[in-house]
Amino acid sequence: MRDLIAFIICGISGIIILAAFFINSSGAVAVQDGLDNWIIIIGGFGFLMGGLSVLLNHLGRVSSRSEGWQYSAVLVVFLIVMATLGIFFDYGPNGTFQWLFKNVQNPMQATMFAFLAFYVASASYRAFRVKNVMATLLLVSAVIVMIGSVPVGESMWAKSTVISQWILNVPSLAAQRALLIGSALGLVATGLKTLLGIERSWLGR
Amino acid sequence: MQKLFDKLGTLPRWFIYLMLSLGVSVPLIWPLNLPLSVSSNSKAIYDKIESLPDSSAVLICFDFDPTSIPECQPMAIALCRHVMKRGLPLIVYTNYPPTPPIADRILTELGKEYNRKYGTDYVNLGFKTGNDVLLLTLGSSWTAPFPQDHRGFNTDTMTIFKRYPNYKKLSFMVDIAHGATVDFFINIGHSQFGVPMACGVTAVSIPQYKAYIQSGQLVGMLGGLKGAAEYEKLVGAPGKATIGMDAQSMAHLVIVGFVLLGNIALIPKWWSRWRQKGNR
Repeated sequence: MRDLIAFIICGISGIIILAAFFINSSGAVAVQDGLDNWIIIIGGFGFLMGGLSVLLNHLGRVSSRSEGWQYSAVLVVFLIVMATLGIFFDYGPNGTFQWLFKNVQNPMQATMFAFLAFYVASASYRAFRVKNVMATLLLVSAVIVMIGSVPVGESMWAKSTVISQWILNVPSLAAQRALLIGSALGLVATGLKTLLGIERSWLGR
Repeated sequence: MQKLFDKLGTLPRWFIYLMLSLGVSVPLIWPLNLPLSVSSNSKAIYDKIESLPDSSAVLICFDFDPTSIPECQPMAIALCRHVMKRGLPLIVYTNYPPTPPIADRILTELGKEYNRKYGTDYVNLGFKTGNDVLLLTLGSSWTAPFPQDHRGFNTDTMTIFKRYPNYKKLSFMVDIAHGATVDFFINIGHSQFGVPMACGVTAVSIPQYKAYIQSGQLVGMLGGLKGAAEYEKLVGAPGKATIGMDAQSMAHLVIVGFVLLGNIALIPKWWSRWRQKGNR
């Protein structure tokens, strides 16, 4: 019975949203907007639940002194500090919250992402080896695209940009289109299966 | 000789990291000022904004977080600068929770520079959960899902939303994204609401969105740091992306150099294989 109610709610909501796409009526749009607002509200609660879940999970790791509990302790302290500053104290451009965000979170996250360049350099050196025809094709394409994507490539060899753009616009794009169309058809099929009740994994079964 | 080839094939990781660090940092200290040409994709966005009538509202969505600031923030600054310079009303929001303060800093500085009035000429709506669902609701109204902006002001009294009450009233939008948000702006914002759009994406996402330029669903695209540097050049305000282009050029050269070294180390192997085949 519980599954049936969930299935009926999902089916009706899905059909309304689908119909509103095709029917240009203010009534359909109003119903769709109502449903959309519910989703936004549920999403807001999702953030709250996610935050609480992270907090409880890491508090548990700290209290049980499991491996790496020190990292969890840092996470818990800063989660509480940032939440307290953001909710109860000055959130404005000159407040402590913004100072911590600009001078601690921003550079740390950017640094983590920048590490990728080092891993890419090391991995390229080890992996891009001429072992067979396919690996050679990959290597040559990668080198041309890398050189053709930066000003130094254009200065060294003017045609590198043209060849690089051809690689991106023709063979690469052909593969991208195949992936896009494949995933779009898969999405339509999954959507229909969910609306018709054939796909029920979202019910937790 | 064999030892040299072996060494070339097994360079230590620290050496690669050191060379890359030098490749990035040296051009930042002593710029090379390499010439930069503007791609058609960046020029198309510039031309589109230039061609908009004076009363056209533009939306710029800041869909990136601090991890992508080096690539995406220069794009955001250059685009917002162009819109404000042209005197077009500018609406900003984000689908990423940490981003509203980043947008606020940029808009406050540019607003002062171009003497634009908050709430009338530009607004930062901040973050709201929902992604594509939020976009659907914006088709009816800005103020219903965003009753207050990022600064806590009521949106229903703002002049900008009286003139442009919903998404459909926009003349152009640009999504500056490091994730998949561009997809739902194409699906809903462009296809359903008919608002012309472009995107600014990290370099890794360029191939993914090229298909939409060919199909005409995207007016243009700013791709990675180079796209940002191109736009800085177009608006005549060189910034961090322009400075970073020399460093990125050298980083690419260092990586290509190491790839070539790794393959040079294989020459003795290829030689012996070729000789074995010849003996057979």
